[in-house]
Amino acid sequence: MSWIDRQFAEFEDRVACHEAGRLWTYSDFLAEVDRSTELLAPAVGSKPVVIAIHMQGTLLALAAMLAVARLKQVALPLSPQATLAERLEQQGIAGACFVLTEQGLDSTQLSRASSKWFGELAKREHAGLVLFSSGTSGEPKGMLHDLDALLDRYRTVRPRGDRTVQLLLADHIGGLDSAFRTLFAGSTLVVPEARTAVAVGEAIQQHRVNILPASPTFLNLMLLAHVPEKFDCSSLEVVAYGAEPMPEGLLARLIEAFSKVSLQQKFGTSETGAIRIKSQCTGSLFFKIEDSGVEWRIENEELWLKTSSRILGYLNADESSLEADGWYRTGDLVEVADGGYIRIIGRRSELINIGGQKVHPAEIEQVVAEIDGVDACAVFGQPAPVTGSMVACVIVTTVDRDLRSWKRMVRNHCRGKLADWKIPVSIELRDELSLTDRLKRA
Amino acid sequence: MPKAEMLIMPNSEEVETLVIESVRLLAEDFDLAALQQPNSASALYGNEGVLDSMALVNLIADIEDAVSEKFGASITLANEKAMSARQSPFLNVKTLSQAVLERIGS
Repeated sequence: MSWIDRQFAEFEDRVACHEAGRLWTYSDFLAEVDRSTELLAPAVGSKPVVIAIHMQGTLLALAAMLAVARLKQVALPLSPQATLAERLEQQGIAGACFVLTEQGLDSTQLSRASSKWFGELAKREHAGLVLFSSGTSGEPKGMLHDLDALLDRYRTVRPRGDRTVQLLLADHIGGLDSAFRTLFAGSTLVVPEARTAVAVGEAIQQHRVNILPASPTFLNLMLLAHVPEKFDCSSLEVVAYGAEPMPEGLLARLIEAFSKVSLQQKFGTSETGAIRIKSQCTGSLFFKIEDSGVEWRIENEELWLKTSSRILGYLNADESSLEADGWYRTGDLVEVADGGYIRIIGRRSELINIGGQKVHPAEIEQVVAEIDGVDACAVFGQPAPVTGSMVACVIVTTVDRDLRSWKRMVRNHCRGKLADWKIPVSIELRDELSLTDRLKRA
Repeated sequence: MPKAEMLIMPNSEEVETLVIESVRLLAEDFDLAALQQPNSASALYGNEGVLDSMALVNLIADIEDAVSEKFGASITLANEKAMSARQSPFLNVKTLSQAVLERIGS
């Protein structure tokens, strides 16, 4: 019996999950892992194969993943919201031989993936996990995790009695981290009826949720939908945010709306898994990496991480960010403060180069967000004549004002606060804040 | 909606009025004293022009937006051709108006 099975057996009658009107105890959950194992065992051999997991239910997908881990195979969790084309593309890149759904196990007729990394996994006699990064363009990037090493990072989780909202799905490292951290602590996962602000408000009220992990964009949607006023959120103790930069203005609004709640920043990458950090104080975006399993350093303003849970490699992408000695170049640029505290400024790839001068989108977003009527904004570079790139900005607003007036308002507001070359040139207006599948700003 | 139905073909005076108004607003936004009261002969970029490259990029975007709003035409003022033309379209209000008119018509 593995440490995982022992852990769950011990939690027995405690509630593992509320999902779609059903209550799951830890015994129920363990029985589901057993059921999936029995289903999979006859189909797989000694050489690891990739098994795609396509389940509507989050807890079922997690049980299937743990069954794959037991059998030392490779799991490919697919988003229940992905289109057929997206699923087929991911299965093709990963070379998934089987698909496990609520209806049972099917063969895909695909041949086994040829990546050298599967051989490395077999040598270690470890299970694997394929995740895809949410790239904005081109083919999605498939990465192979050592699932044993990833799970091992939760061995020291101490028992707790939390009730945590599970918003992200099992196809995402952030979703897996909050699910594992909850389950290995014997706490309760609360899966909302839908991934909307209102459904989350209802779930918090109904199940007396005390921990809410969410992206800044989703939290902003909750404020725009007046969730803290419309629902009883008095059970909330911790709001954990991460996955994308937190605008300072939004953080201040959250502190005001959730005055009795501790706002905690989370940090991690798809390539390393979650990293334990400690914020300087509530309201500060500076944090310190406090994780015994993690080494870190800063090279050229870029954060480098080294953990035992780093991916083995990519299935279809350039591996220059993965150093042979185990370091991972995150692509995140950071600012360093006294006492070893750091703050993420943005992605190196998102820097906007205007005639040789560089600016981070976040610096501009923060100033634009101060303007009355701006619900959210996103700044990015766009090709331009003469200067190579120019600053473009999408503003989400419900204020009825024409583009010309918005442009003048932005210019007037930004002049004196930003150098003229950083002021957005192109502005696009939207009336609704849209989200990606991973709940980041679209 | 098909663009052709909304397209209003302006004459050269209407285009020049739009360019002058765009220059005037830009000058106001960025405190460009020399262009507070622009006219057809006002120099813009290059030679005696007072715009720097950033102001030029802003002016181009402003005019493209205004043309789209007023005449329903989506134009690109600064393409490779414009940047390498023997006579730059960005020299003064007159040459720029001419370039805008050509783009709307093409």
